[in-house]
Amino acid sequence: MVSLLIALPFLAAAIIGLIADDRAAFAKRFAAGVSGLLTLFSLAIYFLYRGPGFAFEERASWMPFLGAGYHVGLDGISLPFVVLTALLTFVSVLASWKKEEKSFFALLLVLQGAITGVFAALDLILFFFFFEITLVPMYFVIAVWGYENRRYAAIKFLLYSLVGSVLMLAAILGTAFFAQETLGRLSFDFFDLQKAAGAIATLPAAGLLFWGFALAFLIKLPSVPVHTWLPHAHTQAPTAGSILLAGVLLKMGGYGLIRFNLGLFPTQLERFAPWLAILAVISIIYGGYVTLAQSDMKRMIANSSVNHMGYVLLGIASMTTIGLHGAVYQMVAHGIITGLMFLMIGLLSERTHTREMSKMRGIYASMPMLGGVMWLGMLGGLGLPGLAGFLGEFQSLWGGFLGEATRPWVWFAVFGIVILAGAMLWAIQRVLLGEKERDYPDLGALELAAVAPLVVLAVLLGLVPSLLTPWIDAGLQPLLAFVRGLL
Amino acid sequence: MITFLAVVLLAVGGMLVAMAAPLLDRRADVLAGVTVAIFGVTAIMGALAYSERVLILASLEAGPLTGLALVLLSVAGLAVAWSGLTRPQSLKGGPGEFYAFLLWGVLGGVLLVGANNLLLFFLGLELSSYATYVIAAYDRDRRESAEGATKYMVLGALGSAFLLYGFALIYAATGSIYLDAIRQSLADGVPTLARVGFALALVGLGFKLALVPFHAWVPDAYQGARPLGGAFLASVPKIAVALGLITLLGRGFFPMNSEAGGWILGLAFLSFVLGNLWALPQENIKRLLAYSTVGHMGYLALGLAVGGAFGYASAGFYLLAYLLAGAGAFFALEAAEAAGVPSTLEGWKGLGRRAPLLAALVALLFLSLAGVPLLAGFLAKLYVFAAAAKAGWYGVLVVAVLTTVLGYFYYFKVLAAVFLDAPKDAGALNVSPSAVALVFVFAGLSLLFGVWPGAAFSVIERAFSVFLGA
Repeated sequence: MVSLLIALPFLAAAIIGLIADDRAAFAKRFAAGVSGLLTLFSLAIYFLYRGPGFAFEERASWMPFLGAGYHVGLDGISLPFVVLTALLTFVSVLASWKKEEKSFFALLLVLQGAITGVFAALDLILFFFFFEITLVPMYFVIAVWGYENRRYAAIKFLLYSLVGSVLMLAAILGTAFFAQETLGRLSFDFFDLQKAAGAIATLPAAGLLFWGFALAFLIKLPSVPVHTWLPHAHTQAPTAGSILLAGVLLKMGGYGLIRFNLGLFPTQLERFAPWLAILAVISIIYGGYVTLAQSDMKRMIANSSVNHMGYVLLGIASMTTIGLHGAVYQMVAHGIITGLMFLMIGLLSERTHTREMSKMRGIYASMPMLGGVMWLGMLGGLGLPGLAGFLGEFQSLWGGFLGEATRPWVWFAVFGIVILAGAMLWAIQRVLLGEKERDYPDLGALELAAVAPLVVLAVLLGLVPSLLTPWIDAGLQPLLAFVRGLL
Repeated sequence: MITFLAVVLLAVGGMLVAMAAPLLDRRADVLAGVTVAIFGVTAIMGALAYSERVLILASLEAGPLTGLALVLLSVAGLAVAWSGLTRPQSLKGGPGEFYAFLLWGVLGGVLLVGANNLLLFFLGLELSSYATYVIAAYDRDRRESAEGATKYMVLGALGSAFLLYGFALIYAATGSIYLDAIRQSLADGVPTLARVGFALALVGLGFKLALVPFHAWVPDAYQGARPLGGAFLASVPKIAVALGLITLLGRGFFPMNSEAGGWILGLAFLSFVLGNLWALPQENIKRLLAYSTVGHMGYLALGLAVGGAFGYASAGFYLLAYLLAGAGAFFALEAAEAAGVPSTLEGWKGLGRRAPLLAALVALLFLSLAGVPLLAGFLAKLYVFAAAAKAGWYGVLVVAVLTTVLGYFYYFKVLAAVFLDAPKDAGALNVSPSAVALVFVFAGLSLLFGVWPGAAFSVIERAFSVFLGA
């Protein structure tokens, strides 16, 4: 089942590539159909999941001479992201209905398949395989269909990500070859390596291996000081690219930190947790400040991601159950809300032909529906209780207060909350409120169809956490039991 | 015996092609067809020879490694001959010579890999090298071609001289030119003279493999040759010399493998660092590929330096992946040049709009060269890096993985020109279908081996296991 979630998008992309289709009339319908279907399919898997631990595992021989196999499976931590990946691809396709190049839709599907593969892979080589594939479609989506400064943004995104990921490859190889002595054979299987985690922890190089993984994930997340690719990539990417970047691509970073840095190197995570906590708090405060200073609306939301992802890092660094819950919840919530915000900004700037906040006024008055959804998105972004973002931030902070490494620093994060709230409210005041300057057409049917699932989820996950928390718990409990056994 | 028959077929076939050329009134297409057919037969013979275990005349070892070389070299030769069909009328230097030297170049490679005898090794290497000089110089009325080939030949001859001198010292130290006898002699202790001899031989082979600091001829030779010649340069001599080096290391110089591995590692390190750096500013795509070849040979040599069945097999898979993507890229250049597009970044601007299928295939090949997953180039790098990790060379590994980032940068520079820039001349290109079909096969195989490497890798790995066990 899981393999279908990975393989079908690739297959669909190949079909789109092979069928002659000048104006992408078939491609966009087909892409919407495939990603829509996979959304429902993954949702079914989501509700079929009975934890704890991994389910839906599939194995096949792939590269036996290297000890790398095809091994996929899902647990409560990865499942929400798999659903989110399919859903946001569907939304992205709908949001790009005016595009007339079929390759655009093929690339979105490749991206969907690769990201799903990242979340499902339980073999480190397979994980890296999918992790690297994501770069290529995203490069082209930004570089071909982006805004004015797209090429610079695309290559910066590519090179930044690569530096992290190639070092991770070295760390993956190092981990497996060191673990070989304990296991008696070379294996890149996650479960095998977990068995050797105790022995890996005693290695002198364990810290380097930890950072090999952590750097790749901190770049992806992103955390200060390796976040500088993000404002460019997000701002320059076309709407669909920004939605997928913010919605799921960044989540690979947080997911990787939990799955691999916590799952394979818990002692090292404990050792370096104070540093990560400091980075997290700086990200929260600095991200908030930079958000406050933006005049370009898309850039503003992009920078607010730095702030939001700071909570994820804080939750992880706390190494507490509640903090990790918060980290995962925050990632899901951010995927929905920020995805929604990028979608709305895309729809808005299509109408106003500008992203400058100073050139927009009274949007709510001229477009009640579009403006209303933006209200919701902005409030979700500042973490208003009742919307999904609040629960994530709240649990991360709570975990931060409980965690030993994070406790000295977490106080400062509170400033970040206030600053970001200020930034969001100020933006609401400048853009949404005020007299309407001119009339714009409000959301159309197709646009509403794209917006609706995200709005529903943003509210639903804010009010009914039991739709997500039990899943996260089912994924986290075995992991934490394992970690406690090692510490 | 199959190997021997294949050797005879290549030798005689080359002579027949050369002699028949005037009789056929220079019908290039017929000659190309005959050459393609011969290579097709020898490729099949190579596959059959895989299970052979014979030592012919005490000098030519017919075994899986020779069979592997025969298959790879024949496929490369076949593809070059096929690609020559795109512009048969442009083979002004006489198609007979072109195809005959193609056959002899492959013949030399097979002899070199199968050699159990230093003289046969040298003979094979020279035969293969002369073929590359001729093909590099083939467009003799173009100044660049003559210049590149002259530099190549002068430096190549220098390399051969080093090699021969080295072999002479080895003979002086061990008293034999037979590799198995040399191995026995060295087993009791490696005399300094043999060590110096092997180091000199390594210099010679370094020239042929384009390893830094013996790479100076590479950019001019690649740029000067037509892309077809570039494809030949990037495939046949590289396969032959890399596998030939394994023959020397595994068969004759096994007792000093770890020492020699250290020397090769030094060359490898310089090559993948500097080759990739030099490729960064290039504007001519042939020159860019030339410097990137230096880098690729560096990664390949990393696998050679590690040695053992896994190290050699990783290098062998790297050869396969590089043959597909590197030669494939030159075939794409040939297809584009035949349609009137110069091989520069400027000329390739907007190729994506002018020839969408060719551009898509180019993208696959360049992504494979860069080492993007789903394509063979990624797994090839992965295996070589795994070999380095296995050897415990983590410092080298970290530098090596970082240099791949440089590779991404310049390969994506080409792809950006192809897909992002607007073409100067917006007209659709009339690309030869047979040329695109060839590129399609190379890109398709890159994809196949990139997703499903198992069979190819185990064939390669078994060849080296058997070879090392012998």
